[in-house]
Amino acid sequence: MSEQAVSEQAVSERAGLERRLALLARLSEAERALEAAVAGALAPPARGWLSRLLSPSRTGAPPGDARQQILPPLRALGHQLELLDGELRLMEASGEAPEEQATLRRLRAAMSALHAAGEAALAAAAPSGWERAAAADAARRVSALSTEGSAFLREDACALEEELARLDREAALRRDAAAEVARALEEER
Amino acid sequence: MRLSDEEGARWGRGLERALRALRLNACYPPWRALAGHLRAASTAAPGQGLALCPHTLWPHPDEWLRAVIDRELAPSLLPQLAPLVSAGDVAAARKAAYLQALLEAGAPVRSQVSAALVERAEEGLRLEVVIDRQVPEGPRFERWTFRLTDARGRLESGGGGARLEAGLERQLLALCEGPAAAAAAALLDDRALSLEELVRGEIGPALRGGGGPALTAALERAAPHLTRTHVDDPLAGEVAVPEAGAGFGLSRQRKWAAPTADREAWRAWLDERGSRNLIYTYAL
Repeated sequence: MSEQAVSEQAVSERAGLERRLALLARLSEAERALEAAVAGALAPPARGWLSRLLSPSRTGAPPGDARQQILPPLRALGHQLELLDGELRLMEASGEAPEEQATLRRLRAAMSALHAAGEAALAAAAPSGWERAAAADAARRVSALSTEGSAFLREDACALEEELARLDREAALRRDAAAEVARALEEER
Repeated sequence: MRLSDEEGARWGRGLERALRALRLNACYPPWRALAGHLRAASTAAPGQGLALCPHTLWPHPDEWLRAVIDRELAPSLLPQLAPLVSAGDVAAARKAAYLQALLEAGAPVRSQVSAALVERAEEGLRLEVVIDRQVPEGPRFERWTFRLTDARGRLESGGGGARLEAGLERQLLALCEGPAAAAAAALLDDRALSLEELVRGEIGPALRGGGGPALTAALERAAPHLTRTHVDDPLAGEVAVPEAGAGFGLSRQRKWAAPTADREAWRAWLDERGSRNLIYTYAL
């Protein structure tokens, strides 16, 4: 492979890694937003005994807009999952980085589980089917899966960053070697 | 009730044409904005189809919400999809087309209150207050127009125009939760206010006909100058009407827009119920 081809391949590899790192950052943002929205919308309100007595929603049912709180981050996570699917399809088609594909698939599974738990939380937020225990369960599940997803995200982001660092090291070595060759040619002249 | 992507798009197109055919005047929510909103809600996310609300046959409230959310996310998602689209990923291309269609569909309709000073009269400020409401649970779109005189002159200036004093705005918004007759009765009871007229224009529901959706719109008017009550609305169920001696009359009519091919069937349906509702037609 010519030096130019090696360099172009490195540039394209780097662009792919950076794209996937950005995708992980957005997934992480969507995951945190979903966890916060579910906790905010479904957690029983912390109230004193007087306000509990006076409140019209003594059952602790969610406010009417609980679904409107949960749906935006849930859809944002869904979109990011579809982008991850697209990224995986491209990697699969090009046969690129099989280990990284495996890592991203594991992350995909964790994030899918979180998305499914988010959908369950959305259903639990429907005023018609409101039940305090079910809502608390849904919120707990989202929180647990979010923690697990965060761990995968951190691990995968570290792996991608290491890969980027390796590419940088290789590029630096190539630059050094090219400079060495240029210097030798210069000296010969 | 869930339709496929294609059926949903066809149903949405039908509703939009019916909306245009209804010839809605300023007593109704602005139909052009609503047409854009409807187009967005009927643009199904690829492969997810379109859910309709069983009572109104409008896109289900979740579809309105989905369209609003995805429209907001579209500007950030489209550049993220671009590398996948240029690499020939079909799913990404369909998704990008969906988001683009949402952006082109128009901004979502929002509830709003506007107030205008008609005249500074001796007895107070003559006002026209217009309240556009989108009730997502319906979904229902309605415009309430209150023409009244406020002896206490509760109109403030600021924010680029006139604005109702918050207490009066809350009072009128609360009246919009109930029937027009009850709102009129409450306003006539209020010593600070003198009601000239109250008009409520509501768009929907739609009904399913053989050729496509029949969309309806109802107009209700309550005013002291109306000497009798006249209701011609076969879809209304029980309409709250003023009691004898209430000091105002009420009129309520509905109009229809149906595919040309369905006109006779709907006419016969209305005739059976003794209704003289107008039917406009549209071509699919």
